[in-house]
Amino acid sequence: MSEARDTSCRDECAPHFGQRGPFKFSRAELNAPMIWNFAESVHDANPVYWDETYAKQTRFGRIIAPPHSIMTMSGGHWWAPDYILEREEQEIEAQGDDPTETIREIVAKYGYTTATNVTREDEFLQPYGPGDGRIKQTSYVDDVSEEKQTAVGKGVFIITIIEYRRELDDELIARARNVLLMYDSSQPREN
Amino acid sequence: MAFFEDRDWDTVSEGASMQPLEFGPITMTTQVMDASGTRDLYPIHHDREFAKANGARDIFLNTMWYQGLLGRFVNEWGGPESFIRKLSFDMRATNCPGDLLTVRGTVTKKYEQEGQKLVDLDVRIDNQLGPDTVTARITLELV
Repeated sequence: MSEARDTSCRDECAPHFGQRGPFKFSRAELNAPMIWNFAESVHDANPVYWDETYAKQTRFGRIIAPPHSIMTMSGGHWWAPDYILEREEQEIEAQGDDPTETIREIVAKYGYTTATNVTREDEFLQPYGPGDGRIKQTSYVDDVSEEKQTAVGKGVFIITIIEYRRELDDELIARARNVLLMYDSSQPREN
Repeated sequence: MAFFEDRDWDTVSEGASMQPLEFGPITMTTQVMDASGTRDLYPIHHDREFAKANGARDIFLNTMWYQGLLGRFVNEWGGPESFIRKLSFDMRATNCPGDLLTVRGTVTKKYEQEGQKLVDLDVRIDNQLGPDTVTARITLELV
């Protein structure tokens, strides 16, 4: 494929780089039972998750969530009534277009519609725990690679930054860098 | 390591091995606690027919459960006030009911950055079938 077309997919996406999409909130305010459910599943006895008296005299000053539980703590519903789901959807739609979706649509025009996650790196900036309210999540696309031939087919790598904030003070608590391969599964590499 | 004891950064040396941790054998109950504790209802983690139809040898532990186990492992080594600053890992093979996990780790780097006393850790989860089912790179802040 020509170099000119290689440039155009990325170029078409470029105006949307760094544009934050709508934010969404976790299902519930952070609470101790959510933390205990997570710690239970791996038998984690860390007293800063379990023992309020102990946690108070640590540098955290309170019970905190495991920082690395951010994906779990920021999760959505397993089930909810339609009127709740519709309300939440409207709150997100009211914030306008999602540039990440726009980029996925551009990439799809080039035939890259099959997704596979490549890597995710998490960075934890501040402790968080009960009393901080819900977790507020937003994301933006940082970059899209030029078109590349991969083992599963031709595609592009979309690099997304996901930001997590405490509802209470809007402080950035965690940031993840995710690399997603979007590829054309109908045309595997020719060997 | 006692749960209530913090590791002094000054005493840590690069290349040091961390005390290995055994977990398991994994049971169906482990999988149930995984699904509920990490809130992940994707059927590949609780529905054996679905998992096998999708090419897996059985249902298997999920991404967030590994985040939890890796966190437990490094915090038990670093102490309750240690705090994970960076985490990334690759899942190379599945861990299913019946499997016995061993977590092991090594200190690869010790440094200070922006006032934080840090160590980089190379952590791996093996099972009875082979090594490196999960390989992780973790930056841990000590006190």
